Amino acid sequence: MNLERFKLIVESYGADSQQWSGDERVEALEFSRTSSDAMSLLDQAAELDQHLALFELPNSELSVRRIEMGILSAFKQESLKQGTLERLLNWVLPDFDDLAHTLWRPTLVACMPLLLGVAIGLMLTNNTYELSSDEELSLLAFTDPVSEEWSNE
Amino acid sequence: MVEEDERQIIERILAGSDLAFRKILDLHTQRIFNYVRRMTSNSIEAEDLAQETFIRFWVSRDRFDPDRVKLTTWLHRIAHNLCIDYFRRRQLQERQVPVQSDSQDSPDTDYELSIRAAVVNKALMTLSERQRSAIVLCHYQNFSQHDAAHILGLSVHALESLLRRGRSKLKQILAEELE
Repeated sequence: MNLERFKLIVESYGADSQQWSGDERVEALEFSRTSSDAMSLLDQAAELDQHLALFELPNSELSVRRIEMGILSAFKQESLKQGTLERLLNWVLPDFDDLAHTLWRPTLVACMPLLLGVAIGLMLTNNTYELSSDEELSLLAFTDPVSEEWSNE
Repeated sequence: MVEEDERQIIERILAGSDLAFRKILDLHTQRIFNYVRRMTSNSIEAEDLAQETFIRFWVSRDRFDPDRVKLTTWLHRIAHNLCIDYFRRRQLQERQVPVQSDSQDSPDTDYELSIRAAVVNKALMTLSERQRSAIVLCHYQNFSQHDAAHILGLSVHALESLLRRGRSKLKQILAEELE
């Protein structure tokens, strides 16, 4: 360590040795104890440090809260901006990186027409027209049991 | 590079957890606001820029590598770039619509800060953006030389040079103003 390097350190980082580079701190501190010029440089830098310390920011709790609220509301808006179709597409089409984990999604979507067909089919079979007892009797009356027997023979 | 707790939070953020992101907000909002506030000298603009910092971080979170850089350094780098954009925009606006000579001062400075703090603030605002940023990062935000240089995209040697010139200019101004 020499005076030139010490001057550069103090003029750049100030008098607080904690601000100095860790590699040079011990050497620079030792040098400052042995050199009167170094001591004088430290005093000058300390004066500026004291001035800089005067610039304290006012309480900014409200600002911080406003920032956080703003970010969270931007988040909500962003998720609302996505339309239903876009959200469905995002859900159906997996991220390329995560394809293996989300392969079930397109498979399930591909099965959906089949499932829909089965559901419609089941609904139709349940809704078949049931005859009342009177309608059943009148239908029987139109059949000709004798001719049926002859045709069988 | 990062502590275990922070690493877990970051991993959850990278996986898209907004709850983890809220935790990061709790931990870093104040510090980022202080940096931007000292850079712009305007609380309202600083709120907007701090907000934008976190939104940009979230949007481009997959670009953040916790093994290479600390989260706080990364956030400050985003904030610094936003400040530079802000100053460029303002310069352009001032060229188009000339404003009064005290445009460097924010409307709230004198009301919010004590007189002596306002003097230091004013002196800081006379520095170039890079000199001011170097001093704010090293002196007020307590970054190491290496991290401050990373935020500014400079070598440590170039950072030292900025700091030295900035402090020298401040010394002259404050000696006149505070005596």
